[in-house]
Amino acid sequence: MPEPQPAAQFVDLRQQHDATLLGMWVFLATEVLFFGGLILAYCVYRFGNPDGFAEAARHTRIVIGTINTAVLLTSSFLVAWAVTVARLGQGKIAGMLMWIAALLGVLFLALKGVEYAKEYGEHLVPGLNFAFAGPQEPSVYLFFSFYFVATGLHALHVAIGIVVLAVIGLQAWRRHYSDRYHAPITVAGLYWHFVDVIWIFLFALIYLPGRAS
Amino acid sequence: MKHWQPPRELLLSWLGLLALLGLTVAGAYQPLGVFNTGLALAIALGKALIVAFVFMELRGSNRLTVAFASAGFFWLAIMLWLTFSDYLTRPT
Repeated sequence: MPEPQPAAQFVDLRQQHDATLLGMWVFLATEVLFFGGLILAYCVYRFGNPDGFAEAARHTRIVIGTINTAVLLTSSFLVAWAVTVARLGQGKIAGMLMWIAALLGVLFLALKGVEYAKEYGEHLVPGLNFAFAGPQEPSVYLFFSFYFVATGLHALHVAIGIVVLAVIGLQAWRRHYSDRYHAPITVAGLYWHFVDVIWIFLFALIYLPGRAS
Repeated sequence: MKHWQPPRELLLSWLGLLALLGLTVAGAYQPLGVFNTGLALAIALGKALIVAFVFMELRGSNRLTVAFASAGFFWLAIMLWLTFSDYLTRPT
């Protein structure tokens, strides 16, 4: 493996690394914009229909949601671990950890699919087969509109992340990263952790309301 | 061959995150009235901060990086604040 060299505009690898990290954080800021708009809409409609949203939230599958949260938290741990050992030259181990994290991402999507199928069976899919008996029907419709858009877009981000983890994991396995050069695996980790953070908030807003009644 | 093991901070952070997950689910079933929402969001914020500062390594980063990382959330806070200063002050 030849010595990695900084791109022409950078003085050294360290400066390139710092610029790469800042660039990734700027991208993640745009992701905050992206999901932030959805979160705002949710907050406004929940504020206006607290009982309706609580009723709707009770129809979400908290067991699947909780397992999925644990799955993503664990995958983030594995990715952080992988980034650390990649810097110590343990490429093979880093690669394996990234691939296991990617598989956990696949598990997340599989569980999400099971969940969507159940919700389809219960006629909770707005625009497809929505039917809800009860006075809170308009609020439940709003809640599940948000639910499918937000978790669907999040799932798309997870799917992209799985590919990123798998490719970067392969590069790590091939010992592309070291103490001198590890920006790609670091920013891949940042993306995955951010997808995890989004889910942490979606979980709190979607699965937890209305459980105490 | 200790180089393959996860640093203690990572392991403890992961366990802490799982513990907070258990706490937030258990807390959701307690009848706390209006505080259920606040509790859930506070715990979510705690989990997010652990992921951001430990996993995403903001803990060891320079101030410029932390400023860039905070920018999006700062914007979101303003948007939520301005929106709810409307809704919360409307006469019923």
